[in-house]
Amino acid sequence: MEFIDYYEVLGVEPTADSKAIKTAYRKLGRKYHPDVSKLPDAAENFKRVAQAYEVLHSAEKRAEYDALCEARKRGYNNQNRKSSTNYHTNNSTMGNQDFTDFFNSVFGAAGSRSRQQHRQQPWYEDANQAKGADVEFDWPVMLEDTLADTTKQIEFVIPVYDQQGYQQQVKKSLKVKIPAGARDGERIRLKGQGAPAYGNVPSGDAYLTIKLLPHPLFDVEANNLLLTLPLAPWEAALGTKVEVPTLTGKVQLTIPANSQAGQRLRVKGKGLVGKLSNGDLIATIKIVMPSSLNENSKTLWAQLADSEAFDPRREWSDR
Amino acid sequence: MTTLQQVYSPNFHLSFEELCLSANVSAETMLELIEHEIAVPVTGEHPRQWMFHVTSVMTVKKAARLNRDLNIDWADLYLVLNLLDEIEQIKAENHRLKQRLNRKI
Repeated sequence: MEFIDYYEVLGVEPTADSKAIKTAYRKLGRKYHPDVSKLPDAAENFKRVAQAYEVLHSAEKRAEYDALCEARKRGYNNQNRKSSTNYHTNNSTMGNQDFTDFFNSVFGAAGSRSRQQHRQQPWYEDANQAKGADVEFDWPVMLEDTLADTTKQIEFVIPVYDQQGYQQQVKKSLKVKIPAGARDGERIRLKGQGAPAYGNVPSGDAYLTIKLLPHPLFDVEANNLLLTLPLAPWEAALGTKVEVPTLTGKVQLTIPANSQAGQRLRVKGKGLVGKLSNGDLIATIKIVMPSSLNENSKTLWAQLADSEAFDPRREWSDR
Repeated sequence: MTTLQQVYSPNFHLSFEELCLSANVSAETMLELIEHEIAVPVTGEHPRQWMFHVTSVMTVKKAARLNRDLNIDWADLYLVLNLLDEIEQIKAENHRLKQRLNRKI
């Protein structure tokens, strides 16, 4: 089993006083707390930091740990320890289970808050005796599925403990109704669909967070759908009618003559379904040049350039 | 695998008791959280009638973890949670705007 240098984990000297230990914990806690940090290994790092702090801020546990460090330094295999395991140090490659095992081997499972929590819930949740563990997960939903009440099959994993107390991951499959007008980030509760509990205690709940999947054509702004509408320069100049896509099919849109790039054209009621009223489809004009010009086109553009006194950079000359 | 064919309708609101149970917070602490506007009832005038939006569960759980792990008191948590929310919103908005910009260039 790996020996864990809790002082190294907190980045303090073994002689550090309780104030320095608390300061180090607070600093690292703020850096790695999974509710604050978006670092990829934040939760794992925080668990290590919290466990190191749990040992070092308690005078009794610290003394016990220091004695173990001392014995190890002298090359003893302490026969009176709760574990007769030989420890070796390699904190950097250690998984959280190793951390928990090490902690339990020194202080016993009863001393570990994280061990007690491990049976029922993720380590960062409070041990909850009153009901089974809740499960939380994101639910990817397509924009099209939010236009009306839609039923979808979802699959998720819940922690279930067998008779020996070992955790099993059990796949659960449910049909769930996506309410019309669902929005990104909206949370849904499925009562009693979380992890089962033991004894006469209700199961936990499942909490789903709707994540609207990016659409290849549309962006979302409140209830409105935003679409970039590419036009040829002559279409913008002369006006035209174009078919534009919506979430439910195509609609014809009239482009007025002399349209400008960035101009927004609104198609009423063709956005997302809202609680009170539906949003609009807003098409923003983008003028696109052909990637290459033939000789005839060049001649026509040259004629246009000669005949027009238009200066697109007039604002610059005023300065 | 357990397969249930029943269609589950989402649940958007919880009572005061359900919120305490779901967030594993005592009624006394919950009242303190309500006082600090960390959890806000959406309907009801008295605790027995109060209903909370389902997002309150996550907010209260997060508040309880930050209080326990980082020793942030309830009064400061209102500010902390608001700032964390604001960061999330700004990040999401930034992501959306970048996506829109890419379509326009």
